[in-house]
Amino acid sequence: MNARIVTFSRQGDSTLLEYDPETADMEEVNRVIAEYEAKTGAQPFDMATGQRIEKVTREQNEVLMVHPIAGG
Amino acid sequence: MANRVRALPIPRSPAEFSNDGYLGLVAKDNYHFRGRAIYMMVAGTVYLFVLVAFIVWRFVFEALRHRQLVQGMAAPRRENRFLGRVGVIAIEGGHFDDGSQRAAPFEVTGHAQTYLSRIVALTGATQSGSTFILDVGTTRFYVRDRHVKRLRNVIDPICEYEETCFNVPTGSIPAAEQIASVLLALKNNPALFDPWAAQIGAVKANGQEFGDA
Repeated sequence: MNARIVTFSRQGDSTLLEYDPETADMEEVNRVIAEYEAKTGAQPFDMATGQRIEKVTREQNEVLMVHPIAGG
Repeated sequence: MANRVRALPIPRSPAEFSNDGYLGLVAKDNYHFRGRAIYMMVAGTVYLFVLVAFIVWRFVFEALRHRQLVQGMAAPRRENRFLGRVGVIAIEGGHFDDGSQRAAPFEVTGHAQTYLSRIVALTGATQSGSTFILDVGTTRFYVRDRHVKRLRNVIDPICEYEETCFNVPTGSIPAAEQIASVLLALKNNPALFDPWAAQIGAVKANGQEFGDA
């Protein structure tokens, strides 16, 4: 089963990344996530535990990128 | 005595030139052989035409299919990036609204509600009407559409409520997903309420300000 990195979007959700966790180069996956975070400020959360994660590992099957929130 | 001339009958077909029936048989065989040869030639030509047409069609079809595939890979999303090395597809940037996977409004609502339900379960929040109640330690949050209320110490009877608004400035996402984002963020970092209330701008889940929002 493929792992997914998703984010909330106008369409409900958008898949940012999809990869085979057994064979994927996780450094590359994390590099893309870091790039996405730098652009949007979104940070990864493990959808199995609800915890924010620093790095995505092969154990995570679904990661949600949560965008920054502003008060007002 | 006058010579008597006997007229001989004119033969009507080559076979009748002689009494030899063999000649007739040969003539008939030649006739059948020629007919069959013509038939074979016509059939062969037709077969050849069909074969050539099939080969041409095959090449043209393959070329068209290849072109469609290339166009399909290039066109659907302008932010698509293919990373062959890890077998992943990345969509850069924060704008996904122009993609080909535009969902119908009821699908969007369905997705958003599903995520909200999952995140409510993950964070241990409870729902009361349109408000979601989240406990983090002794702090209780009441989250509803674009508003969050905090009770710092749920066991302190004189503790007062504080309230602020919130929004996700990087994109217009459904209200259910905004609430889901706030629940996840507060569960992991309850101190996020303070920068929201201070209205310093967009704040990342780890508490850092995000300047570009």
